[in-house]
Amino acid sequence: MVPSEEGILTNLRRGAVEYCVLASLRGGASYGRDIAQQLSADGVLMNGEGTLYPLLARLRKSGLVETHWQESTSGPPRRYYALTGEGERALEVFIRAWSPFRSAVDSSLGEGEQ
Amino acid sequence: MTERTQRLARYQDDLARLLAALEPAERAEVLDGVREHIEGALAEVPGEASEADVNRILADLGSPGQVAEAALAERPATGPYTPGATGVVTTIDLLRSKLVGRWVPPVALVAVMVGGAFIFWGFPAILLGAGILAIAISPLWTGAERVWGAIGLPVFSFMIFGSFLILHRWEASVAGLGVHTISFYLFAALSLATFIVLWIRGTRRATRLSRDVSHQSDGRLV
Repeated sequence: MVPSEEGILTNLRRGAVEYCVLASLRGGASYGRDIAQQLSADGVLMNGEGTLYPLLARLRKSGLVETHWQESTSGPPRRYYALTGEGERALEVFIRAWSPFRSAVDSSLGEGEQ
Repeated sequence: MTERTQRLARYQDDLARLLAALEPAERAEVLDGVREHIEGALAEVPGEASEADVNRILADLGSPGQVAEAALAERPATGPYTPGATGVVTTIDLLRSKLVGRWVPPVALVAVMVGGAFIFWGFPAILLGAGILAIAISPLWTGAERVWGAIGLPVFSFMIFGSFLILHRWEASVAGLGVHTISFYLFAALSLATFIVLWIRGTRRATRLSRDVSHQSDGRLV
């Protein structure tokens, strides 16, 4: 059976999207909807903004992000997510691992084409 | 509550039901996140939210099924990193996430009714068992509806013919009608009424669960 593109994306997202969430917090704390809109803009990293919340819950539980409340000018107070020290270190490790991984995948896919 | 805010509330109810397998704290965290997301999005709409605003908010969120699938995948027991750690709970959760389509109410209810009515033949017991299991774990019904579907419906449908076996020595009649005839019609009517009510309610929830995936074509969960 040939897996669908969506099925392949689902597998690829596992293990990568959580670091994209951490990376989106490098510039400072942010709230759920803002992170969701950044990551789901092209529909590649996330299918449905709602799928971010289970992921954020896990990141918080494992101590990679922490939350605090902040007033909003346009509505109810927002729960802001911020990177913890551990989160920053996890992101650094991922970045180090990702680059050679991506190159290896790219080059093996390129070789296959020839 | 307007029809629009009701739809947003129903979305959250449906999600809450699909997340039943999660630990309460985890479930609450996901539901809180989604609720704040909706409240924040509504607050940014000038004036009262229109039908189109609600459609957009729900479409952006993805269907309750997609969110629930993501949440269930986050759990260590069903996560992709522990393929060996399967158990009864995992299998039931997997089944639950599959039993959300519009085909579920008619199939499960017919299985229970036919299985219950003809159980004295033996093999329809399999139908009955499968139907009861589906009704008990599908997120399409609430707790009370599950009791009616998994206990009430099989008892009523069994009694359509079963009353002949139980009451065979009792030859009373009321207003010219034998007690068997009365009980046949009574239990047939009760079965049918339960069947119809549960079918309508289950189908309504199934429709709602699938409504917001119109922009998705993978069709994995709903």
